[in-house]
Amino acid sequence: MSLSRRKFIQLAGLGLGGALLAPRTVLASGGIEAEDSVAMLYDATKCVGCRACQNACKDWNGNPAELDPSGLYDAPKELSADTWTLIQLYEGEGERSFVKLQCMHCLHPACASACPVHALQKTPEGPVTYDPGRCIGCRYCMVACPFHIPRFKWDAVLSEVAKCTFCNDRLAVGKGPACVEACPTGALIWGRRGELLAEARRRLAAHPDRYVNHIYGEHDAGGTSVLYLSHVPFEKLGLPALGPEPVPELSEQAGLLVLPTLLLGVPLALAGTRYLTSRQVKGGEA
Amino acid sequence: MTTITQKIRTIPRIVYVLLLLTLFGVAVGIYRLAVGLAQATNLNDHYPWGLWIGLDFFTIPAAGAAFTVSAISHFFGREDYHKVLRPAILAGLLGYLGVVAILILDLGRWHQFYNILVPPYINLHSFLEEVALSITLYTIVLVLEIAPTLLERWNLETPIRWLNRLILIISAVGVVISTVHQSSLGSMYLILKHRLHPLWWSPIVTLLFLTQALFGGLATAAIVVKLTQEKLGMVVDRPLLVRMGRLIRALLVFYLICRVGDWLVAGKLGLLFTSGGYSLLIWAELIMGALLPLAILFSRHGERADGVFWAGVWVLMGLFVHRLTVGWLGLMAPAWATYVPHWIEVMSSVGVAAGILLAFILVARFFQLFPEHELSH
Repeated sequence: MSLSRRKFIQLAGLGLGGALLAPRTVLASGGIEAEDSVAMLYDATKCVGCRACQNACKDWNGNPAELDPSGLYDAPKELSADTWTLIQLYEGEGERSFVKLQCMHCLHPACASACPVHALQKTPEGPVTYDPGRCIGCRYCMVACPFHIPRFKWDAVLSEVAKCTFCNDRLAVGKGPACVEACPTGALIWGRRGELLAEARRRLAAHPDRYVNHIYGEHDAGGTSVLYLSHVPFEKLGLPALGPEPVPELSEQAGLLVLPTLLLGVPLALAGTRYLTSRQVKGGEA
Repeated sequence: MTTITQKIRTIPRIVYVLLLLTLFGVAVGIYRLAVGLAQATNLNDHYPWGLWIGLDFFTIPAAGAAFTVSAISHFFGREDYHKVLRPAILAGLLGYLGVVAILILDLGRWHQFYNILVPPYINLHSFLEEVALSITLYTIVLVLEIAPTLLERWNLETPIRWLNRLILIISAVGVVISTVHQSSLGSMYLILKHRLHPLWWSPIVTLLFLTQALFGGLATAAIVVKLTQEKLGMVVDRPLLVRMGRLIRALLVFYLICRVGDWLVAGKLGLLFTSGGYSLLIWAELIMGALLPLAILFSRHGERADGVFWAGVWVLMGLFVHRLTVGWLGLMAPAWATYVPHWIEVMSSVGVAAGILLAFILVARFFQLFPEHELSH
């Protein structure tokens, strides 16, 4: 059995409402537990590829539609500064599946770890937010993201990074993400991460024949706030096998080790060699 | 003495060409800032980094001439290096100014680049932040280190006396910042394991970058010393160049051992032959940047000023390929995505390079880069 989508959202919303009214931008370490933060669950087996989510995203965020050369609306082919979520179709060897792309809102985002000025931050509420007032436009985030999500407004004189916001501005007024609320089939639901994981496990247990036995995003890349269920191997849907370690792990550990070593070691070494060589010179003169 | 002075005062014709290229670079640079990245570059969502980043990442270790020579002369008791400290510092400073110029062009939100210095914004987890802080601080250090050379022309004794008194501390700070800076540039790749081609990604990328900065900096220093002494009509300091060559040689051997050892441990040796275009890049880099200079330096040419000079040139060319790879070509993009630098990216870079050369030539002609008695050989 599974919760009806509406009921689920109501349940999740009750607990979250208070916390979400005033989203703060502080690091995830000291805030709401990951299991209580907001998340999304996309079930590829329920998605019919109607792109309602894609259009709702553009509508809410004021992103222009893509036009073909004759000026008619055309479906975007990839994520861009104007397309923050995208439905794509995988077809191969007798299997087919839609897949929804957008920011994964990682629990330990590489983009936020890479950003020199904290323009990208993981909020304890769940969304990974972007502040153009801080951003210097170095694009390290774009290179660092293992999902290749952040895009750039190249056309502007002063460019900005652009990506899915988890509709942080809608959460602030008690609404769910635009894409989720537009989904007609229940392929996309949102709520607390812990409850969505429980729901995903229920579905896997109830229909083991229907799914790959893995909740993508539960542990992948250290966990993400967008979770996936699928009947097709996730790598074929463009979701890479990244392992359970957060992408920034090695870099952040090295920072703790290398910097103090150099800051202490190099001055000591310089003082030491200077002392030794000056003694040698004096000794030579004597 | 007068003949040398006359020589110094006559400006070579190339300066006018360099001036034109610099001015053109400044013009297209201003155009880029006025119209944004899309119209002046071919950078895109799949190639967010390109020629400019590659060139910056090359110039930084090449400008390591300043901190390597400064460390050796001040802290390893090598008087012979002291004589070439000024040209090395000048090369370093001009290199860093070039890096800053290209960075400004590259940043999408250059109008608030100072955010890297705003304390509540600083992200110490980000090795790019460490790189940015280092560039800022080290440029200041280099200005202080070169200041006596410039000030003495107008006999400003008091500030010179103060700078000379503090020179050990200033230079120690410079060496510390440089080691942090050059290694952090490598550490920036620790978070890019999924993006940088495995031949270049390594858990010891930090050490590899620092080592490259040491031999790359010395290579620049050797080239600068030989050319400057030659053009100023001085006797080229062959013994010093040979000692630099030996140091470069030792560092290159250490580097190669680390690099090959890392591939061996990670089981990546096969990739050297099976990576298509990347195989070409890695061999170009290894042959030009390590094998060829080692062959020169281990042969009798290593005992000659020319030999060390050319070894240095090859080292820098190999380094150039390496940094263009890690800054641009080696950051894997979908097969169908393309990026070829826009002519504005190329010409603005040419302008910066020309500006560096121009400034060096002018300072070398009008200021005292070598002790006076050296000139009267």
